[in-house]
Amino acid sequence: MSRKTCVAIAIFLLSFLPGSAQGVVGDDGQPILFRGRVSRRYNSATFNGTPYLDHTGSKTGSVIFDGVLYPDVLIDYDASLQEISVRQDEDHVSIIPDSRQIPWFTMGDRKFVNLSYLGVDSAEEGFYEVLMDGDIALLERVDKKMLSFPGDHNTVRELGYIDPDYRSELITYYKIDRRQWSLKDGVLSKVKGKKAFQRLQKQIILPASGPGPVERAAARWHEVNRSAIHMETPSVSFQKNRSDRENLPEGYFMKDMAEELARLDSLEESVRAMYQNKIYQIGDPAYPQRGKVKVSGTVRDAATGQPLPDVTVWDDNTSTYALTDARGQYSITIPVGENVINFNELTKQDMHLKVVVNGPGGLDLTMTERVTMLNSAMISADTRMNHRTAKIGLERVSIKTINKIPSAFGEGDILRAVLTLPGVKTVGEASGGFNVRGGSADQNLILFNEGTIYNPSHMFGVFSAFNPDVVEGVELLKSSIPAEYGGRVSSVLDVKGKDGSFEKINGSLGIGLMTSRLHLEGPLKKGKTSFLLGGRMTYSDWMLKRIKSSNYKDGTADFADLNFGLTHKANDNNTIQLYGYWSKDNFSFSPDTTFHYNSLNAALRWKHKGAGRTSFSFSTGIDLYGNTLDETPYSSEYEAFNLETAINQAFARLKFETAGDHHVVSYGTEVLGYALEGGHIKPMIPGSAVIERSLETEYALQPSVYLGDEWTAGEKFLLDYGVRVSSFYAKAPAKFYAGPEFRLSGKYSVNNNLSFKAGFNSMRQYIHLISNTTAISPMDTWKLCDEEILPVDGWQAASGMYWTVFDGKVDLSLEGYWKNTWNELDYKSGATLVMNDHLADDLVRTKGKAYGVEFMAKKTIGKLSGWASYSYSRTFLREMEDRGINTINRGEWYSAAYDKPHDFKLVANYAITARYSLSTNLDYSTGRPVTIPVGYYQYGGGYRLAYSARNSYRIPDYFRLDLALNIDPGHYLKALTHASLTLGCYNVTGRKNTYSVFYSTDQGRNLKGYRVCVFATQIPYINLNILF
Amino acid sequence: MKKILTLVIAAMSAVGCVYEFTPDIRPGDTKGLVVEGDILIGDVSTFTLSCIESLSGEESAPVRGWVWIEDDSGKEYHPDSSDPSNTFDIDMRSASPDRQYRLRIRLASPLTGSTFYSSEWREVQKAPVIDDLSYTWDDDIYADPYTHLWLSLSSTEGSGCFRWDYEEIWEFHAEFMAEYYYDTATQRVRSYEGRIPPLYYCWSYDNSHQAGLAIAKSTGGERISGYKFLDIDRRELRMQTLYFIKLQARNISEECYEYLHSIEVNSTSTGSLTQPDPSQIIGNIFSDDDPLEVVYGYIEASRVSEKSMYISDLFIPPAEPGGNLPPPVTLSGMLTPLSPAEAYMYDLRPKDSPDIWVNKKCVECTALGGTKIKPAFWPTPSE
Repeated sequence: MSRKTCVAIAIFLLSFLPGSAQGVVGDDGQPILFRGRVSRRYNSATFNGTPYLDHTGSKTGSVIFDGVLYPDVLIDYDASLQEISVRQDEDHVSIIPDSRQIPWFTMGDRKFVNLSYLGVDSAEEGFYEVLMDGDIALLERVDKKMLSFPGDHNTVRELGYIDPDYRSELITYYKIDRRQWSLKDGVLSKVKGKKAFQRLQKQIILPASGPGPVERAAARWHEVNRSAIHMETPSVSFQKNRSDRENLPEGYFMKDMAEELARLDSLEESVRAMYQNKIYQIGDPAYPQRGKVKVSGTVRDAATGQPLPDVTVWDDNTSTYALTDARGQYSITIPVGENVINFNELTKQDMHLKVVVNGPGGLDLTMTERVTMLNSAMISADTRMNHRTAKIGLERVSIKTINKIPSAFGEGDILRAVLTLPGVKTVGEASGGFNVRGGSADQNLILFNEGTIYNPSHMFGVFSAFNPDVVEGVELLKSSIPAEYGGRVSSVLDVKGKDGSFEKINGSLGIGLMTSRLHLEGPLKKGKTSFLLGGRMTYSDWMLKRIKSSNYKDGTADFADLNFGLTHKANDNNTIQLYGYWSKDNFSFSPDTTFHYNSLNAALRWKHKGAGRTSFSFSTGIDLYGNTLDETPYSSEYEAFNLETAINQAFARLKFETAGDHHVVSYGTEVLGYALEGGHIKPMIPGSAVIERSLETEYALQPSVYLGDEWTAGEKFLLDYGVRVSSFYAKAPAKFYAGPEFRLSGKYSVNNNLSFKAGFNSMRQYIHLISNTTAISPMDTWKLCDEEILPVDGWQAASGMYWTVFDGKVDLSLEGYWKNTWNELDYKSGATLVMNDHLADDLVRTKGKAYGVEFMAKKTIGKLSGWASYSYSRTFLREMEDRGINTINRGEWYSAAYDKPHDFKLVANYAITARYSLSTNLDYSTGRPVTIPVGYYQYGGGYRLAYSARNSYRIPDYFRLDLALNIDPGHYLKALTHASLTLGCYNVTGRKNTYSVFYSTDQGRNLKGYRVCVFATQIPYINLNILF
Repeated sequence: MKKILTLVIAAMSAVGCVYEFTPDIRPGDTKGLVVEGDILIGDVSTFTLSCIESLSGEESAPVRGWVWIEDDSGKEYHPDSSDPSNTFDIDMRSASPDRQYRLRIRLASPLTGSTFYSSEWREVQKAPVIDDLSYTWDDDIYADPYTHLWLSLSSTEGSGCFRWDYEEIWEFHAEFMAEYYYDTATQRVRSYEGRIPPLYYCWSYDNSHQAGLAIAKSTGGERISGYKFLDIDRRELRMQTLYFIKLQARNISEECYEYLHSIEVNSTSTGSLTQPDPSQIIGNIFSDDDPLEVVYGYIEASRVSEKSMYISDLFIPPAEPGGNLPPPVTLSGMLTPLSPAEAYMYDLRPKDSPDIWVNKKCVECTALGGTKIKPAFWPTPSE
């Protein structure tokens, strides 16, 4: 019998509802206690110790289950999972009854109580042993944890006993953890230390006779409350050598018990995922409705209580999909009657809930951590993600994925991860910016916890500005950009920071070759207020100074950044969040020129959940970015100067959302205020030849309003549309721009596995990055629109096909796009872009066109996971005005600096074992365009250089292969520390990828060309991360 | 630990590098016609034809052809010679400033497949006014050893962009005046008998063509004032006796100025990580067959203003002699024996002093690059 058939049978059997939970025996004559999941069979050949409290074996005891006492039951207490398994006798298979119906059980003389079941605050799920039950109850909690560390752990302290069968070659073992507690007046307190324990023992007044207060409470509570619990348990009891053909299908019981148990082992995972065999009633059964109704709720992480975004919610009957949002909320429309709703998230145990839907209602749940990772995906993007949304060009990357992608110097790098996505390119290694679907680097709106990031990198692009320890995930919107976003023409990169844990203090320490980082998070008030702190710094500066015979000896290269977050849940409906980010960079490879740049972002956000399914959020904050250039020419210190530029931005955003049966309407407003300091130059010493002067500060306001709707137009149609009206007011000289921006995308689902999308976006941008250099440099200036510099207008049309194959294991996508822009800025030949009072005179307006096709195959399940993508794309610019012979390329289209037609990427992870995995990253792309000298000629008394047409040549193609070996800690969720190690090599083939080219000439002659390679060799790295 | 650190640092410093970059240049990009010159109404216009030279140093075949000027009435102005050449002088002294002009070119051997080229039609820029041509110097030669030449230009109907050329003529003499000379024919020392040695005074000629592009753009209005365009070291021979400069200035269009400025910048600023990339500069000369073919050069039509001045040693304090002349020596101090092939001259001191022999550079002005060609207008009696 195949596994699928067994599962189907199990589902069928488990859905059979024999009646109420009353009585000792069920309809089949078997005690109700013995209905449940088959007990797990541990493979003790792989570990030392035992997960059971009592290593000597099952003990006879009694269990109160569902208000009824079952005496003389064989019990095993699994202290690792905090559940008991019971059987009638040695001839029966052990069954795990629902712990939530067990307030009390005994094993021999030992007594155990389920405090969380009795409603004791702060009690953990599971059982506490009652050591003394008097006016104060003295309790002991035992947890067993599976660890994997080499060494000799055969001690009472580690295992709880001396294991006579201890095998030294195994490094996995069950470690015992005992903690003592006292319970008085319903308050649970930890007993700290042996002396306190002994003192307490002497203080307790035991009852003269009979059970103590705790025991009585356990027996009484359930009597009162059990009728309120809608519980059904299946009428299945597994008995060896018994063939119950009335309830089970032919052949269900195998003759060979070992084979039966092995088969049941394979069922374990799916049965376990049945979530305690519970059936949920939604809506009032007294007033059942017809047709389809909306079921909604919140999904939370069982460990932290945090809402879980990106959880797939789908209905077996109708294949309707939903996805939890950032608040963990979902809404799904399903038919009235019996349904099975599935919840799937990468790192959590699958949940399959049986529901009986009578009418609209709520269904909240928590999801527990998935223990084993062998069969789970490395890649964050869930299977079928593309089928769940109408958005085209949406990519999500979780921090787990980011940390697995090899990068230079080994540190998880947000930007490097983004660069592995199709449609995302860069002009070169260690380049500060990136290009999305033919857009320039300044056309990407980069958000981090509501703040705008103007420079997303440190050290000229070697590291990203985002500390991976404080990031939850990254979302890149390449085409379908919701109406709530605006201000940039190409894309939105939304880096989501994580909130601190509300449950316990934890953190991490990362040590690498060039940088180290530390992060700490935890509750200030458990369940209410949490904090998050993260910091990074580099010691590359110290290392550079120790390079004796090198040009870098006098150089400087260092950075530091700090992240701060505070989250406060005022109540169930209101949350206040405060974020802060600070960074500084210093960079110099020669003593005469030093760059400094720094960022400061701060944001305050209030989220409110209103009546029904309405919500709003209000956020406000500041974004400051400044850079400084210190130039001290060798020729004369009297020509030394200091040049500063800065951009200061303040924002306020108000967003509303109302969800109905078929529509999720969002609307809101946003205001940005700018104070842009174009440049201030001043001498560095008195008497200098440099004259101090400043460009006037530019002030502007950018208010916008938007309205959007996500319309479930039918089972197969999803439409996402909206309009944003943006405006811009420059103060002096006064200039006003405004215009609508339309957003439209739609999805048609042929079936669960095949869908088509199409979309159209128009966008406007009122701020430009002025750069005529190849690489984005910190000294590039930003410029607001004014009467001479117009806003960039653009639109993009895209479509795609999405196909999930091989039983949901592989997602295929094929997307195509066409984009047009107007008023993109390019520079005139010989333009002066720094400290230029009449900057517009050196700039030209261009029209841009970009088109491309992207193919991607993504495998998210299995030992091997990852994605491969290929894209063919072109990006061209053309000057909009005819400036006669000065028109760039005579007014013909020319390649943009980031036009790289062919692009192939491969990101893969292979889980060798549960702890060891191999990661690889392969990147190939066409070399970017350049303009180069093609000859000499004599003119005007000297030799001159003749250049090619703009961007008509290319640097050599780019190819890079990275490999990494990841060693994860043991698969245990509750260890005090987890240390993971990554050994890797960046650029395994040692290819000398060209970053830029330049030429040197002597009076126009003796021309020599050079190409600069940032990483011209293999870069091995080692990274140690410690979680605590 | 130290060893590990050293290895790590060494690895890090070696991760990035600079390598030679020699891309293959497309054949079409290495062929290009270069045309230099302007249409000067009321003067002689000079044009040269050449072509792009390969970066590898490969010699290009010389460019030869014919060049003429057309006006918008169809009248043509040709050089005197009808032979194909690469340098042309065209007399435009009788040309009208009220017409439009363009340059026409026909190549004897096409470079790229095109034979005929034409510049854009150009309106004649009016001649600017040379408000001032003057010079200044510092008494203290050690503080400032230069003579600075200044000019001021203005124009009522121009773009505020100017270009100028100049010719220089200077008279100088040898450092010493010899009284005797060694006659190699007779192998005897002979006297000049009080006459000025024939190679004592010389004249030299130069112009601005090798000095780079002389252009300037007004920052406000249509004038440039007090523009220092030339520095001459007072220890040079140019400042020794009498110096003459004739400046010719003309208005150029802003487009022409941008072109000339760009090619100057392009040749020095070749782009780097933090510098702007240079780009191709298109002139106003086009192939009749292929308008997209790149031709290097810009043809402007202008009228010329002229002004000249003299700088005399009578007004500028004399400077110490400059140059690297070998010192005078006595016969006994001569390191090498007299060679009959070298006509040493000597200056006879009083009877009780030994004879002084000097290298010919000290007494022959032609050895210093001068000529005996005296301009007809030269005001001094020197011969």
